[in-house]
Amino acid sequence: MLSWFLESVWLVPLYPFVGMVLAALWYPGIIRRTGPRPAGYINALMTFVSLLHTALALVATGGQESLHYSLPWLQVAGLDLSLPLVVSPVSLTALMVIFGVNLLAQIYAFGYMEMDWGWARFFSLLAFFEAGMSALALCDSLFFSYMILEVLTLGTYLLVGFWFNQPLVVTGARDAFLTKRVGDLLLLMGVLALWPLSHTWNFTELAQWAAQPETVAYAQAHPQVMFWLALGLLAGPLGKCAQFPFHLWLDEAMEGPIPATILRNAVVVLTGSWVLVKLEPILALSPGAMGVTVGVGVATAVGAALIAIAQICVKRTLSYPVSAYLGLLFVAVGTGHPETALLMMLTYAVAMGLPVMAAGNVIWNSITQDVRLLGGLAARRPITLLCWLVGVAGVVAFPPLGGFWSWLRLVTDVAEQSPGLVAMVLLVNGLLTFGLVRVVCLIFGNRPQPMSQRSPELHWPFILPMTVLAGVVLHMPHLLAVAGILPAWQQDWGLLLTLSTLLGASLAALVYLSPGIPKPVRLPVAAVQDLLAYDLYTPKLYRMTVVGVVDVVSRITDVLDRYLVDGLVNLVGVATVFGGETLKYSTSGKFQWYLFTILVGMGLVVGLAVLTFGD
Amino acid sequence: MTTATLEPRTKLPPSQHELAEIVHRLEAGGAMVPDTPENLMQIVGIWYAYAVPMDFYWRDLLYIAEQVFLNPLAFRKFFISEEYLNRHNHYAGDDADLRIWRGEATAHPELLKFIRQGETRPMPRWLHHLWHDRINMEFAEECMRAMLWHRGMGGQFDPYLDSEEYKQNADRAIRAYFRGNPLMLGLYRLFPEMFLEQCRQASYYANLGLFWEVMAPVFFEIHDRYLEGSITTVKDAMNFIVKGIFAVAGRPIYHHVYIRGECYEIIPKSKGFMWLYEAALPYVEAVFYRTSPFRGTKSYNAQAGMVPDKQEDFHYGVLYADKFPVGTAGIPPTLLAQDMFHFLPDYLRDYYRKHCRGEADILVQLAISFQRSMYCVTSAVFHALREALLYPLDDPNPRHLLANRRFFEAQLDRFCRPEYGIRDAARIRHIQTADYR
Amino acid sequence: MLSVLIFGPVLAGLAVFLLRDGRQAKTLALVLAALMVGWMGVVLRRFDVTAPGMQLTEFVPWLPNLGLNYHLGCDGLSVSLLALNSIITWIVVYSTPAAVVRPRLYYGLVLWISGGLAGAFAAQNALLFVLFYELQLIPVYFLIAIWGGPRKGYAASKFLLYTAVSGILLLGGVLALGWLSGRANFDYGAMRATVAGLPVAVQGTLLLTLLLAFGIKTPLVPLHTWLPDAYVEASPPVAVLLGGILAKLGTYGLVRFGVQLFPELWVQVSPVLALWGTAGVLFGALAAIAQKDIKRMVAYSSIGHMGYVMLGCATATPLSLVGAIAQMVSHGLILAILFHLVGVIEAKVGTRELDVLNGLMNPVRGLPTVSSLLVLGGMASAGIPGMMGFVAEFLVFQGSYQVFPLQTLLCVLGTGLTAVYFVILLNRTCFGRLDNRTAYYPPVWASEKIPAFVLAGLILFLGLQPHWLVQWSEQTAQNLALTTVAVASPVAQL
Repeated sequence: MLSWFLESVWLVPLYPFVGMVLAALWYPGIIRRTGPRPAGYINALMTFVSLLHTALALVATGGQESLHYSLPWLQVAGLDLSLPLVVSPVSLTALMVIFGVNLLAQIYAFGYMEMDWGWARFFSLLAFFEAGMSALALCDSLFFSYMILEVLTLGTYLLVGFWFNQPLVVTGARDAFLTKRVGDLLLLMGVLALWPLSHTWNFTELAQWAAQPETVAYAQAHPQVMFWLALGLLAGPLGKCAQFPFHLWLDEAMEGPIPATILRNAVVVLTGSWVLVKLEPILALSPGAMGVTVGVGVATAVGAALIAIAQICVKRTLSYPVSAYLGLLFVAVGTGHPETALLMMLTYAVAMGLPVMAAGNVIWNSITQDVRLLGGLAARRPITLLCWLVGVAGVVAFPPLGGFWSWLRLVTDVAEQSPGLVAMVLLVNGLLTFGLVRVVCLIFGNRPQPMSQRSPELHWPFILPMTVLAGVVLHMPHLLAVAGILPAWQQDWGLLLTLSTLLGASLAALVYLSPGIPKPVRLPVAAVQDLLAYDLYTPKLYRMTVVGVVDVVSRITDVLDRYLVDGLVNLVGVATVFGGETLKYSTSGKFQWYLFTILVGMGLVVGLAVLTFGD
Repeated sequence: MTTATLEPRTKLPPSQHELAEIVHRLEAGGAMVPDTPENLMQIVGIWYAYAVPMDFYWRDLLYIAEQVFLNPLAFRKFFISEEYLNRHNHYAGDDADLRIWRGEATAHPELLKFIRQGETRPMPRWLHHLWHDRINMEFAEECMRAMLWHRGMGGQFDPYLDSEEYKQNADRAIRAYFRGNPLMLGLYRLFPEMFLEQCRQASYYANLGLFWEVMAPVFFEIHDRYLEGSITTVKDAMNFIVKGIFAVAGRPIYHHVYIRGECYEIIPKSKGFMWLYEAALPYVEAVFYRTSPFRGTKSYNAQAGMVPDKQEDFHYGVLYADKFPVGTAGIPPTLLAQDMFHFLPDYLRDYYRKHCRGEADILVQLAISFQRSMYCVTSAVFHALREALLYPLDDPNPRHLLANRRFFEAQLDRFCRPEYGIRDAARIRHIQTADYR
Repeated sequence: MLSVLIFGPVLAGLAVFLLRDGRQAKTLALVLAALMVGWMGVVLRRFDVTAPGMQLTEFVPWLPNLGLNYHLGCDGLSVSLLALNSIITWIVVYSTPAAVVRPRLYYGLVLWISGGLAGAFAAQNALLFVLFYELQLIPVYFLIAIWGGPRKGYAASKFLLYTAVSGILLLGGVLALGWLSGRANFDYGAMRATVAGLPVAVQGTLLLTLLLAFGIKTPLVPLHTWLPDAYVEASPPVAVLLGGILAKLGTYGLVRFGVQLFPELWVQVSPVLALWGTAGVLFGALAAIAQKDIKRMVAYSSIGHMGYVMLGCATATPLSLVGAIAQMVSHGLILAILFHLVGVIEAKVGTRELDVLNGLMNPVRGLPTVSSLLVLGGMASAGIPGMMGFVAEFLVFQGSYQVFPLQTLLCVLGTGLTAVYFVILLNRTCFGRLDNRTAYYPPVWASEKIPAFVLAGLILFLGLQPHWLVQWSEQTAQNLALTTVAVASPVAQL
């Protein structure tokens, strides 16, 4: 009986899909005399069903071999595109996380969106993401992974653009879409370039291919080819994971609703790293590419962690740590430790949603998202505070919670490569802790301000999912132990990590709780603070580079088209009997002329015929 | 039609205010809305459609304040009890303290009918609830939250919530409410402030409930009189509200909680909080003017600075709202519009059918009528304040008239401030013409 | 079999034209167009996807001593375009308001064009093809000149002149071929034999002539300047006809007369052709980004998309040819939905200006359904997977990469630019807020949505089940293929 759930697990992505289609019934115009809330209930139900199915399937996998299916999609002209699915404990765990977080986010949305009339669009988009991500988790093909990433890019555009009446949402959606699309297209280039070498896009086979000695030999013979190829493949994950220089979209995506943010920060961004992990064998063929991976990872981790500290908008303070943490994932993969990356993804995905939920609680009825205008909520909103803290503790290296163990494993792994990386990881951990604790202090510590003077704790749709998630985070170590993936305790690294965490936390508490230091805190060098606050002026950077170039070139093209090509034609037209602009005055003349040509043509035919065969 | 009210009955030179025409209209005892039969029909009709759900709002608000109270898992707080549906409105029915509406004191028959069968068909109430075929209490709660959250709107009620006396009353009620529930009592011992804050919110539930208990019959009565023909101009309708305001100004605002049949007076009537100053004025300020930006139209991004830093600069109430996005995502008033949509009087429904997209965009059309009507109510508040604090309109003393004018102009200045685009947001200029619909 | 597709519409057009009551014109035309779609279904059923070579051939000697025979037949290429033709015709008829001026003439012309196109696609005789090719122009000229926009006169004549030149070049090329062969036989088979025997220089001249002829029709940069004016000035349904199917005459010719007649030469010049296609892709996309008029933007997008077809043809691997043919069909359908929606928007809002349009996604006062479909159409055109545009483009890329890596990668870049201008378009038109003073737009009727829904359905279905898109042309592509790169199938799935 249980085994059925395992064999039929490929059905799972279809449940949310059904929910998505059903939700369309409430898109205004079809059902309009009653409200759209059923759309939400249906989708939550579908998510629950998927979760249940996955859970049973997970039970059914008694540590047995992973199953592989292949669904035929397109066979044409010697190209066989079948969708390979792999059902392994890993992919099932991924599904559990996806559906679990989704379910909580959807219930949370019941509360957060209770005054929103866009439930149909919102929940069908959530379901869209759910279906896409679960398909990605099962999919074992680079090509189909690319397709899913592309489709999710469109999903991002629509989900960020959910509140399309709002100006910043419009630009945010645009930038999110284009940034991700650039990544996707570079990935597509990689996909195309990979084929002639490997003749397969199936991850499992790619791993085998990469392991073959002749492949390795080829890679050594053509480092350039492998490097650019790997770079192309890397671009997709870079875009999805909001790594430098593709990180801006995540900031702008914060214009979307909190429930969507929960999903995005916790799981959606991981789609990129998921693909990255699967690509690791190929990247490993090019030391240069691995170097780039680590480099980007380090840059993003440190940079984003610093930027986060300078943010004044609650949601931004929670979005930059995402980029920073994912930077560490890139470091893990770049140093050749995909399993570590997977472990980090697991602990992260579960924990990161929590601070976002808590932040949502605060801004829902305290209105402002400006941390400088909040404060003194600790006494009145202890539940939110506790959950927030649990979330933070679950993300950073805070023993004994789940996050700590993945950090520990990361440090242990990179320690083999270089002590510099270890220092970097410790630093990032410290900075992240500082940044996250800073926000907690600013919002919950100090004296209440006008906007936080009346701030009651919220009702069940907010509190229930949040507390449940907190419970899961607290039990993470236990779950890891049960799954047998709890890393071994490393005396010195463990202590160092803990130290960096405590250092960051206590420093933040010191700076932001002590009445001695005036708020808002200003750095001695204002320029630096602004540089960080305004995200290293990346928007300007974009405008000056890519955007600017495209803009200018397109204008030039237009001018060329208008005046050179078309102008030339019109000129010729004027010169000859049938003028260009003059045409619109009298067309009859040209018409006769045209008929004349036809007649001449026909005449020629006849003439030729008579000449050649006329006897 | 408007010119009639614009005759310079004042002995003052014409106002230099940019909204001079409206200043003169107010000085002539008129409203900010032009006095046309079309406007009157829209305003009165929408008031009726508003009063029916409002009859549910105030009952449910009081139900939550007095019965649900601090229940952490209030899954059924919108499933109002029969008792509260039959609860007698103090301003309607035979046993009224002051009979404003000549109709019945229990829930309005149309409301009962809707609760029974909704827009679909008779079903168990929880099914209606799940199918979202119900009154949207969420927006009523939002109004309550606006009153709770916004600070410095005057009155004694709000400061009282922080007083020792209030804390002691609340403490008794909370202990009684959670008696025999060690978990919650333990939590209460750990985080007393959290429960107190909840209690304050409950007090505002009561506050708003008591406010709307008055407004519903007022609107019903105006509608009846309009149908009878005893109210023929916007001015009449407005003046009826002014009279109503004075009639019930002294109505006590209190908060009682009923736990196991026993009544706990968290805010006793004896405190003598007056309806006008503790409920009506804060309500107008918080809901008509301020509330909070719609997430569907304004960015909360702190760096973008779209949301003001000071609460008094908030300008997202019905007087400023862009009604075109109603029905779109992120526009809370849609809930109210949908509630009114169920109860539109036939003549108003026909009127909408004749304009714009007819049936298809009634939601927006009625929302805009509602905006007009709320400008009318605000005008009533202006006149009430003027009568309470200043001089009669026909005062012979020009200095007094000047004081009146200063008052009106000061009020209208709120629609002319440049900061945060307040001036453009204010819809007062739109509603002067009929083709804004 | 195929004759019905030609003479059915022609007679139908006649019937409509001779109708006494103009108000019934649309109904009649619609019914007859629907019948043609039905008949096309029959043809597709009869069509054997595995059989190589021409099928359902018909041969009637006409002017044998001119070598002009009524010789029809279809392979994967023809049948795909024939199907596209009948669908688009139906869409065009449906999406034209019944209140159009001079309805009988209008619908008559549309049906005649449809018949003529069918003839051109089915013809197996070069002269016959030329005949049908030329016969299009007059009706199209009238469609633009009578039912067009403000600058219709200019646009129509410009179109006419260009296509006239194209026509002459084509005629000249074909006649020259016939003359060189020394035998009056213009059947494709025979001509192929002739060409094979010709010296390269001569072949080159002929190929160039034909390339120019079809380059104008397709159009390929820089021969495209008639297109923006014609598409923009034509009424939306006519624009659908022009872009959706008429332009395909050019791409069809590229394959039929280029790849098929001049294989040796084609392979030699293919790098240039590939570059030409790439240039078109980038040029179209970049020019589109700079447009301020959404209809013009869509028009330029179609220039870009023709570039992919050119790339596919240039490479001429089985896969790239399948891709090219698929791209012809998908471009036809996607352009149709885009032009139709743009037309609806213009009709309701009264403008096509990007800077004026705003907030049409608004579900109560805006055009929610139209906006949603516009998002779908735009994204399909930008090559988002799950819709047919992606399938076609991907097949072209996958087929071409190994031969022309650089050009292919540049074309991939082109899809990125396509995304740019479609996002601009969607952001400005669908997103944003409605202006309280001006935004009182009339509602969109179901009849205006249905064509878009039909097209959207096709776009999605063929995107998710691409088998139905490519199966027709696979065999043909195998035969036409000039370069066969080792597109070895992946290692057997585990």
